[in-house]
Amino acid sequence: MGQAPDPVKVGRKYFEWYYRSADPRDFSVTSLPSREFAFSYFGEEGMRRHISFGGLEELAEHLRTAIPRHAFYSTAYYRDPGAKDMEEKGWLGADLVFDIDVDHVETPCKELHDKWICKSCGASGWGSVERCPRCGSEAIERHTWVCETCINVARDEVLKLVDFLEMDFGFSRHELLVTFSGHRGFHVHLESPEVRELSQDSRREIVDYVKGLGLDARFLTAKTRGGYKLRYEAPLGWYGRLARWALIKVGSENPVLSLSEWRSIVEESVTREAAAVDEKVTIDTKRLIRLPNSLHGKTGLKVAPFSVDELENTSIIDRAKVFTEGEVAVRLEEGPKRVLDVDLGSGGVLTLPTYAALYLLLNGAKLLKFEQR
Amino acid sequence: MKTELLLTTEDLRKYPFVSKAFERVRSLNLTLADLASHPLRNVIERAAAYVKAAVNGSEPPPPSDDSEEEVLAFAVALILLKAVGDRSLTRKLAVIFSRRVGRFLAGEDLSKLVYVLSELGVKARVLQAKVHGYPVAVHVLSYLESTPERAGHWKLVHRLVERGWVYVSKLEAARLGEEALKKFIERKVEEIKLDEVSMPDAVYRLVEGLSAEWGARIKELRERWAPEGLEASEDAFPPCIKAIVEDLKAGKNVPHSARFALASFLLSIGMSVDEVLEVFRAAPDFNEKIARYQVEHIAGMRGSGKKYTPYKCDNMRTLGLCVAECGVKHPLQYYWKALRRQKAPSAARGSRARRGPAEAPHLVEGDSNGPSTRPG
Repeated sequence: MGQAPDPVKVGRKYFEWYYRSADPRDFSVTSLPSREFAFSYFGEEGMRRHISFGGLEELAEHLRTAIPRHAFYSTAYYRDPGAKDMEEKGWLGADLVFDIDVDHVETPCKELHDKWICKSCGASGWGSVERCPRCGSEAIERHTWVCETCINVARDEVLKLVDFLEMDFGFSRHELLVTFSGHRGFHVHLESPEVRELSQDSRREIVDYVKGLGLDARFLTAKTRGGYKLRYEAPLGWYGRLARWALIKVGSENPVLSLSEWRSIVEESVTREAAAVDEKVTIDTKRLIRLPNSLHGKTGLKVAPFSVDELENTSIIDRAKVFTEGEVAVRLEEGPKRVLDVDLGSGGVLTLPTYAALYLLLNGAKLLKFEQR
Repeated sequence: MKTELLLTTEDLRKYPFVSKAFERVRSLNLTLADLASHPLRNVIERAAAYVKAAVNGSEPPPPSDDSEEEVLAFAVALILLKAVGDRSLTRKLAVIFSRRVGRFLAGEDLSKLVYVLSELGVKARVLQAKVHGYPVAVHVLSYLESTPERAGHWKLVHRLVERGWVYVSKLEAARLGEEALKKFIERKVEEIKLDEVSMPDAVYRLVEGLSAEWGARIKELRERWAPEGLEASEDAFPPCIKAIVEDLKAGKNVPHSARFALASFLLSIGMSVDEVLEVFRAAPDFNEKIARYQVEHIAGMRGSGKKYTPYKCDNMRTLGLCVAECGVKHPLQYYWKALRRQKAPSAARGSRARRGPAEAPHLVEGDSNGPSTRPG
C-alpha cells in the first residue's frame, strides 16, 4: 500500500479476517430470533435495519460474508423483529441497559487527543469545549480519540453503577453483562425476566437514582433542635452515601446542619458517587446497541464482554485489541498525541502496532502511508 | 392453602379482583344471557351502577352483602367497559374503584394486605421486626411500577432502599396496592375478548345507553377544559418550551430530545407542520427536507401513524430540559392553564375552584417516547 490509504478497503480487509476466524458462539445473544439487528457496511452510508436471524449460525454467516463495519442488535424483544414498522414488530419487552461514555465525563487526557473546530468562526484547539471560546458559538465539530486513561475513567463509572445495582437494587453481579463499547465507554446489560416489562417511567426512576437526580435535602432530612439531621441513620440507599460524605466533610455521620449545608453535602455526594450514565439509552425501550464481540468500525476494537470481577482487574485495551500481530509503518500528518496505549509524539513517520495504526486510519487521522510489516 | 386462611368469603366482597374470585366466576359457567335474566338481573344492574359511577365521577356503590353477587358484578362491569370500548372510561372506573380498595386495604392486618398486593403482582413481605419504623418491604421493581408519584417522599432517591427492597409504611403499602389495581383493571379489560354478536339484546341496549351517557359527559368536560377558538399563544408556553425556542432563535445547536419536545408540543397545541417548521427554521443546521420528515413523523403522518405526545415534566427533568418549578406535571397542562387565564381570567379560576382538576378529561394520553431508535 502506497500513500493515502483507503480506510474502506483496508478496514474491510482486516474486519474480514476477524469475522472469518471468529468462533460463532462469540456472537451469541439471548433470545436471538426475537431481536432486531442493524448493520452498516464499508463504503456505504447509513444503516440497514429491521434484520432478523433464525439462529446464531445465520447471524455468524452474515458477519462472515457481509463484513459489517458496525453491528447492532435491539435491547428489545419483538414478536416479528424483521417487520419494518414499529407497531408491527410487536414489542414484548426489553433488557435494562446502561450506557457510560467518557464524552459526558471530564477526563484529564482530552487535551492530549481531542480536537475541536468552531464551525462559525474557524477557531480550533485541543481538548473539549462546550462552546467556542472565541465567538461563543455552540456549533462545534469534534475529533475525539480514546486512550487508556479515558477508558479507566469510564471503568470507574461502571463500578459506581455496579455498586448501585448490587447494594440498592439487589441484582447480582453475575446477572450483569458488561461490554466495552469499542470506543469511549461501556454498556451494562441486565437481561433478567423481571426487568423486561419495566415501563419507561420505572426505567427513568432507576436512572434518576443512579445519577442522584432529584435528591432534595428537604425530603432527606428532618428538623431537629438547632437545624436538620438525616431522616434515617442507616447505611442504606442515598442516606448511607450522604452519611459517608457528612463524615468526610463535617466529621460526623449525622451532624445537625442547616438545610443549605445539607444541600452542599448532597451536591458533593452526587459528584463523587453518582454514576455518569446516559439517561436516553436506559429510558429508550427500543434501543439498538452494539453486538458483543463485534468490531467497532471507527476503532477496529472489539466490543469485548467482561464480568464485573474481570472489569476490576483486567486491562480493557488488552482485551479489546484484536489486531495485535505485526506492525504498520505510517506517516501521520496530523493527529492526536496519544491513543489507546500508544504515544504518537508529534506524528511523522512511525512504526506502530497494527491495532493502533488501524485505529488512526478508521477514525480519520490524516495518514500518508500505511504499510503492514 | 394459605389463601383460604387469609381471604374469607366476606373479603371477596371487598376484593372481587383476586384470582380466587375470578375462579369462582369461571366455575359458575354463566353466560351474559343467564345474567340478563331474572333472578340474576341484580348482577347486571350492579355492574351498570359501577360504570355509571365512573361516567359521573361519583363514588361507586357500596359492595353488595352477597359476595357472589359482588364478584359477578365486578366481572360484568369489566365486560361492560370492554363493550363501551373507551379507555378513558375504563381508567375512570379503575380510579374510583381502586380508591375504595385502597381504603379497605389500609384497614387490614399486614399479612392480608401483603396477600392482596401479591394478587396484584406487587412483590412484598411483612417484616419480622420493623426497620426504622417500617413494617413492610416492597420489591424495588414492584415499587417503581406502582408508585403513585415519582416526586417528593415517593421518589426512590428519598427512600430507604436495601438490596432490592424498599421499606414502606402500612398506609403506603395500601396506596401501592391502589395504584397496582388501577393498572390491573385496565389490563384485564384490555385482555377481554368480547363476542358482540352473541350479546343479549338487553345487555346490548345497556351498553348503548352507557356509551351515550359517557359521550355526552366527555363533550361537556372537553368544552369546559379546552374551549374552542383559543389560538396558539407563545406567551402561554411553559418556561421549558420557551427556553428551547430562545435557544433556537439564538442559533444554538439544540439536542435531538429538545427538538422532539418542542415539535411534539407545538403540534399538540394545534400548530400545523408548516407552522412548526417556521419555528425550526432558525436552527443553525436547518434542513427543510429532513426537518419536514421528522415533524411529519411526530405528527403521526408517517411511519406507524402514531402521533407522539410531548414529554411530561418528569421526563423533561431527566433529560435536563426542565428549567423551572411550575407546579404542573405536563408542559401542556401549563399551557392550557395559562391560556385560559389569559382569555377568561375570572371564569377559568371559578370553574377550577368549583370542579377541581381531577375532573379534567385525559387530553394527554399514551407514553411520551421520542421516535429515536438509534445506536448507543
